Amino acid sequence: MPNLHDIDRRINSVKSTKQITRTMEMIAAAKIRKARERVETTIPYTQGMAVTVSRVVDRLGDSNNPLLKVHDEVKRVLIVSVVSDRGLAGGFNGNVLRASERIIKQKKAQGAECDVIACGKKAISYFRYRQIDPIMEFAGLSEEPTMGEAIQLGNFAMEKYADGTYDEVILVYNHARNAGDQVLRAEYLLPVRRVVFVDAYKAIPNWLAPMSAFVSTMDLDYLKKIASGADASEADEQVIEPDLEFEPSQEEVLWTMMPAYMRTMFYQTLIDSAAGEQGARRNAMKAATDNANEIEINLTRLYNRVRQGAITTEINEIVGGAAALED
Amino acid sequence: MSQITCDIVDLKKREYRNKDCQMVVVPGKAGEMGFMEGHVPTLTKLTDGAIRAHLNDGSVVTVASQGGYAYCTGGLVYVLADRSCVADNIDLDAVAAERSELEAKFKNVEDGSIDQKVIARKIRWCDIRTKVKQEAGSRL
Repeated sequence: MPNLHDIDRRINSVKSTKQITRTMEMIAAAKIRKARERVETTIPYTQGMAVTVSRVVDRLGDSNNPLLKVHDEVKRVLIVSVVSDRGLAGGFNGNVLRASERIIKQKKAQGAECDVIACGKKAISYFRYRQIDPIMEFAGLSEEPTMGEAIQLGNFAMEKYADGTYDEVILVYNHARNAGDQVLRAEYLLPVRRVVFVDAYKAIPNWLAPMSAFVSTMDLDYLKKIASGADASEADEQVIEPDLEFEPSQEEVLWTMMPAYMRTMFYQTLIDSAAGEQGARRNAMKAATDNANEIEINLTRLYNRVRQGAITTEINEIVGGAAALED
Repeated sequence: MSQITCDIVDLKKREYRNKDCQMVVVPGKAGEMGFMEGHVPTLTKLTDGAIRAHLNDGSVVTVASQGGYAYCTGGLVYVLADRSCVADNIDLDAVAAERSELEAKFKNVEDGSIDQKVIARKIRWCDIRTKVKQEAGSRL
């Protein structure tokens, strides 16, 4: 039976841990709102860009734009893994990193080499530990990603895809479905394919899917109508429409638009992941606080039982002593 | 009667959306372009200037825009601008104050740096808003 002092010390330790987890939960909850707002303000532009590019990819015949060309053979793949800089966020980092590793194994089994870009300190240490040296590292951006990092990522991916170094670019990240729920996403960013419109409240059907544009249920029909057949499920029901015209010329529009699309998608991914991180941390810290509460209750109960046991023993001894004196 | 939707978004917000437009005029790279219902699907690069939505009730809504693209589907004009602002919401005094603040910053940054380019672009945005607001005012 543990003594009272040990139990008391344990209770104090649990209480102080609980204070930390409770504070972290509140900080994460406060940050979620700001992070979600940032995602929501960029959604109309990202959706518009996704719709437009989807339409272009859908209706463009031959194009000289290297980002629209699908390479005949996949020899080298670039995987961009987006996680957070800090832990204590449940499975937020682990899910993305394990998924990235799974893709690397899959691609290697298919005969392709893989390079990794690690966004977030957790990704950097994870890959280094596994003898995979990331070719590009971004630390300290997970909470406040900026357009600068998105431009850097976009430019690197575009340049290397265009010169033939990479044949595919895959993004792996957590999509913040809502303030409390994150969904793992693994999507092809390059070559640019038809964007899939996914209802924000439904899961994406395929593992390793084309780039998705998450939209609210209200916007889904509207966007599908605009993109006229851009949804993969309706691919067979497309209506033949006139070709898309470009002003001033197809080349000039695409040469400037595709980089803008890449930067937008990278930026959206970074801020989406940042919002997901705060949600995941709040969930994890809430669970930790609840567990600490439960441990504290159990320990307090044990403490009282031990204390009561000690009192009962003392009374018994006194009663026993008094009885002995009477005899 | 032509009925076309005008949807103007930028990196930070949806600036303007109206389903009852007769014609939408955008500042294309190759000159101004007007889109009416049934226009052939077109994707155009935009230059800095004013987007004008001619509504079916006879009024005209002017929106200042910087950079971006306009995508017409025949029934909708989707404008993806770098920056945009409805002319009615432009406060010329606030824009002038913003401009002088940016000019002061511009002098203190390194020549040829990215910061300088960013500030120069913001100054340009102040000029666009001023010009669009003045033109929209004189048109009335």
